[in-house]
Amino acid sequence: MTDAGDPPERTAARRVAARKRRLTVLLLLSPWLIGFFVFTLYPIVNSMYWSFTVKRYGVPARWVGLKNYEQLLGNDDLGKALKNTVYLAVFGLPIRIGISLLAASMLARPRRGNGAYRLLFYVPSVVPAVASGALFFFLLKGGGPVASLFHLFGAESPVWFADPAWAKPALIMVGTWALGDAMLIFLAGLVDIPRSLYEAADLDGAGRWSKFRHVTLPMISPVTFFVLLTGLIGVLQSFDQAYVFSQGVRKGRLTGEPDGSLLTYAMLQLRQFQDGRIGLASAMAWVLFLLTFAITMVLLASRRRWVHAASEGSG
Amino acid sequence: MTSHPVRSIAAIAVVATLVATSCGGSEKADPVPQVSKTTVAAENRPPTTLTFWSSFGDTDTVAAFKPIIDRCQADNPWLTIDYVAKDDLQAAVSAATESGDVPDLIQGDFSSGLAALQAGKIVLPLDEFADRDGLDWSDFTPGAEKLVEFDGKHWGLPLSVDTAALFYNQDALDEVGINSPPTTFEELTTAANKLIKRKPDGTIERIGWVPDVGDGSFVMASGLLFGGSTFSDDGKKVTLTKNDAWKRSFIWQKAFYDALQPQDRLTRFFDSLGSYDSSENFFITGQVPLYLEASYFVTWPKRFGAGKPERWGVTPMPGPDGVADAAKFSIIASGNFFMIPTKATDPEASWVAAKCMATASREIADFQIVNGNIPANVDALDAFEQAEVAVTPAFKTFIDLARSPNAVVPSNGVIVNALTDEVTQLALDFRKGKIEESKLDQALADLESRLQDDLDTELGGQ
Repeated sequence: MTDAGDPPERTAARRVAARKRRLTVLLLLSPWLIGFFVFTLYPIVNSMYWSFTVKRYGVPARWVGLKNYEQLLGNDDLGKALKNTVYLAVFGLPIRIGISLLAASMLARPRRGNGAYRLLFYVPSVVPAVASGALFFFLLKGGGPVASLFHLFGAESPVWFADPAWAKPALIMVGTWALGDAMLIFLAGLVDIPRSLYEAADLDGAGRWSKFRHVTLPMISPVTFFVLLTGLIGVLQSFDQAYVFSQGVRKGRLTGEPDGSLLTYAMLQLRQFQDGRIGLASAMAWVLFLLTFAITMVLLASRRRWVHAASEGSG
Repeated sequence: MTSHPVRSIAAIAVVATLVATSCGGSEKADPVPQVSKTTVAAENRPPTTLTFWSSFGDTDTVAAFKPIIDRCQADNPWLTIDYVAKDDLQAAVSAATESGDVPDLIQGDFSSGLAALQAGKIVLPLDEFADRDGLDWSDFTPGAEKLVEFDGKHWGLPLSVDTAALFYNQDALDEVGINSPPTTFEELTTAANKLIKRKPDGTIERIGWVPDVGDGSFVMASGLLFGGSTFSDDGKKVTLTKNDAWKRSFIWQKAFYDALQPQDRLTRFFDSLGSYDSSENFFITGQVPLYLEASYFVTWPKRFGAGKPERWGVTPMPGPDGVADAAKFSIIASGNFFMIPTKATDPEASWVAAKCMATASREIADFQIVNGNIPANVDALDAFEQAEVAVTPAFKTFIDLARSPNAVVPSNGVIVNALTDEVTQLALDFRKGKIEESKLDQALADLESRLQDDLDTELGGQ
């Protein structure tokens, strides 16, 4: 703002100073800005453009309008992949959140050896997803340790990978095994709950369940919301373990279901990239993004109903 | 007026994005380099180093391949070949093509990717080089030559071919009173049914023969067995309903699985099979006594089986007439070949290196003795036969199949992977009874129509 009474030279000096400030801001921001433009914004805009084209390696993109999207919607694979993904989200996420919370609740209380237990729970989450997928493939495959255990008790092990009905539970198991990150977030949330609230509940004669239901759950609801949201996005984009399983299955010649017992949306996308069909793969990426965005919006909209505002503010 | 930093950043973002997008969008295909009319004499060539990307990565294979390079460098002292192993060669070549940072020569299995390579102008057709230098394509086996052909042009120089033949466990055949391996579809069906062994509770202990152990990996080859095709020669038409081969092959395959029902028992049997590259391999354990596999599997009983199975052999699969005869029919499913990228810095030098490496017969034979694949070069194949058949007689069948003048190869189209997935899925659905036989014709026609639409979109005005 310039004062009306200021002499012109003073106004000019202020403008120069303001321009210098802006340039300094831009200069300081430039490393991030360049990275953002080149590695984030450009690929996003380009993939949006390519999703309306036929684009192959080495040849210019050719505009085909909505053809890629029409092709996607007319393909059964999309429905199958989405069904599998929804299955993982509906059954896998609650199990993961429930067990993470249970583990965090047990480890939040000061006890001897807590540190070791926390470490044990956390370690699986630093194991690369591909490695954990390979590990579970070894454990669950026919004739593997789990099948041998079933045999020991005279029972037949489920056919984890050859039977689509069991392949998805196997994936959920891997996801649940690596719950360390969610547990750690819950643990931080639990430790953050003021003791005074529990003391007040004790005075009111609240039991364990009541305290958990009326104090713990509301107070960690922002944390639960965060774990749910990030978990859901993770499930929608899940890829590595399913890829390892399906590769193992194919190499192991075990299944009759390459149709999507394991295939997630991201795997379909990979197939298109491997085929060099970049336009179609880009369209898939945008469908996945829009789906993720829509679900995130629904979750955000639901937040007011179940996320405790006070704890959100304090947290 | 004071401008706001956020507005400036936003403006820069929009401009930068538009510029970047327009750069990507206005990309132009580079012109294909012209082939010189005359060959440059060796003494007039400047010292040249070629970057050579190969799919062979493990130490033993690279070491075995090295003499081929050494021979070509010795024959062409001006040439240095810089060997670079690439795990995922196709992806690396695709990415390199997009970035423009391509190698001078590539070698790998691109047998199902010729249409895509052509569409992307990623590699050069070699006919002009070959015609100019008098390359005789009959120096390679007929199947190998077909493998590098697409749309009337040769896109590579073959190094090796992959054929498949029926491995049989003679001890298991003897057990069910069959003295010799099956050589017709009828004999194969009889043997497959006789060999099935179940426990009293119905659990499958041994199967006879199945086209594939449940993963659909044999579906495409079985179409070829019945004379089916996938694409027209120019890759522009989907040809699944050109004849009834696919339908017949689906019905033929299903009968083998039907004999092994119920499905849950079969699934459990497949699930129980041990690791493929170990002593638990199902052919070694005798759980699958008839098995269609490529030549490398010849080494398996010795490598992993410690002499098991004791008596085994290899015989050709029956062809479209239902009779096995390598001279009349063989399938060359894939193979390795040398190709020259369109953007290679010196295509002439790349051609010299490719030609030399594809015809270094003695070195190729020695290499394939280690690698276990069948040489594509005729002289190399002769040398390979002389050296290897005495040691491992089972190679003889594969050599005969490789020499077949009537070899068929998979056809090429830019949507070949999508087509393979869809056809395989249809076959698996049919095997499981999800599609009735009376509706199979319609299902194939619908699939062809959908894939044709997909192909038309991909090819556009090409």
